[in-house]
Amino acid sequence: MSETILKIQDISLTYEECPVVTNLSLDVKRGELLCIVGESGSGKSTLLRAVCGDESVQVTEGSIIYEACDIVGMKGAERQKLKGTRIGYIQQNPYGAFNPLRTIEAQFRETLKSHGKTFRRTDLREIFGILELNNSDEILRSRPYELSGGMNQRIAIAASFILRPELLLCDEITSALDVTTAAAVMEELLKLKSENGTTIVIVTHNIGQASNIADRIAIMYQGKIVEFGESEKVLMQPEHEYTKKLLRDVPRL
Amino acid sequence: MIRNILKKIAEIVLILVILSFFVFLLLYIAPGDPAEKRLTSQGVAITKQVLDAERERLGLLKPFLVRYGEWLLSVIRGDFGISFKDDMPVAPKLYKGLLNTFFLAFTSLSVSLTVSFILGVSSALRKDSMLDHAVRIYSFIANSLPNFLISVLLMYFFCIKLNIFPVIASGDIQGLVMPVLCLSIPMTGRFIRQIRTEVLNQMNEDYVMGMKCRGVKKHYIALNIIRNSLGHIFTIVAIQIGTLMGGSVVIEAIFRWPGIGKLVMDSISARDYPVIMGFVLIMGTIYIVVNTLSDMLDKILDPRIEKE
Repeated sequence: MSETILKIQDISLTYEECPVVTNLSLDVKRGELLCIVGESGSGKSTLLRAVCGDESVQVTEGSIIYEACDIVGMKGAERQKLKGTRIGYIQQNPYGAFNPLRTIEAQFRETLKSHGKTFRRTDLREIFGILELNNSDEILRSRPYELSGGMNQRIAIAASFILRPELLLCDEITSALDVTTAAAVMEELLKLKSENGTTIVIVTHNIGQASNIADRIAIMYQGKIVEFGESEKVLMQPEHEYTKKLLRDVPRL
Repeated sequence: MIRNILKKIAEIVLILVILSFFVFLLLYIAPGDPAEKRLTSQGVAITKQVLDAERERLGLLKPFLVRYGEWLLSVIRGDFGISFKDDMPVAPKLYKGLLNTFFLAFTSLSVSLTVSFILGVSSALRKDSMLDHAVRIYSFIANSLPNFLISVLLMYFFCIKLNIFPVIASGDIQGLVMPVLCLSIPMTGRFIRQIRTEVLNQMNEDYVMGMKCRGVKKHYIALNIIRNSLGHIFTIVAIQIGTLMGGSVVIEAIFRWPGIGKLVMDSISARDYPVIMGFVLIMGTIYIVVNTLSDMLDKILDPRIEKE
């Protein structure tokens, strides 16, 4: 678990011409589950979007090295090849993953065809079952606007899972889910990691959730990483004031 | 579904009855006596007796509502009455001209929609490229020029200087080119801008980002964007139908295209009420039917509208 799959070096990012992240460095080891924790507006989602290649995020400085290759300077078509099967991304907005006016089946078919894979109902049923999406045939016939936010989020997760990416970026993916489903999704992420060796980066504002699943934790505050290390160390011996505050504010039963 | 269609048909009928009433009312209160105008044009010496007899013959002395009711009933039977100008039935005159006008309008609409769709979508998909800048400049110029000015310019270059097309459109294919160009150029200016804007709006939707992040191929993404833009494109086309019909009347007059334009212009100057009323009613019906169809199509393309 020592090989680095993703290395972010001295990166500065702007979103709609506003500086969001400044001079940030971070490395992700192959096969690990890294949680980036921070409050809203700290730049964690922007960081993830930059790795994913969202054109609305501008990299003004630094480099993003994926598998020893700087992907910042990569041309559109070359970068596009990485998406899906190499780098997967699940966004926060549950309704954002799919075209609201087309059936889920049509969109799964397009996704799989784009990667030279065949659409098989049995494969989908299995993944849908894991994510507690019962009645898969009806779901496949539906359009996203006909389904709830939680269902859409789970279908988006299924669309990422089915491509089996090497690196999976998850942006607050459980925010639209109820506690039970959120736990099931997290369990599946861990299973994906252990069975396929998928490297997972999860962005969350919930340090409690991160403490349960992360191998390492990075704490982000005002566009910078203020604390980064093995999750046990970050949780047990926090050094930065913001980390201490986050830990103090974890709700207890 | 059937209930909705029946409801829509009932709405169309009601709107048409209201439209027909206002058309009849406006021409009823318009200044000028058609009986007097008719007698003058025939060179008959006007006396009170002759004028009253002519008014009686044309049915102008009956109460307003009776006249309206009689006219509406005959219109429903497809009879638009007798022309005040030459005592000929109005319906055949209108239908003959309308066929030519529809042909001109449909050809212009097809040409401008095809060109605008290709240029509008390409321009949006290649935003800020040379193509995009060129298309935007064309769209701005085409949209700014009124079609009568375009027709004079095109006529000067293609008909007089280069002598490629006839000045007077004879109703054949060669004569169709110039009127179609004059109607299409301003229309493409508007369509391109609206299609480009709609495609750009769709490109900024979250689902496009979602598709890109899943590594979905570019042509699938483009097809999804185009599919979602169609509802809006059909709406702007439906709205444009009214302007197109109005605009074609002017262009027909300039190029002497044997459409309904000349007939309407002549009828207005002669106060030939039955022809004018028939024309307005047919144009109104076309506009209402096209817009209703566009609404229905919009709901099929985006079922969320129906749900809301």
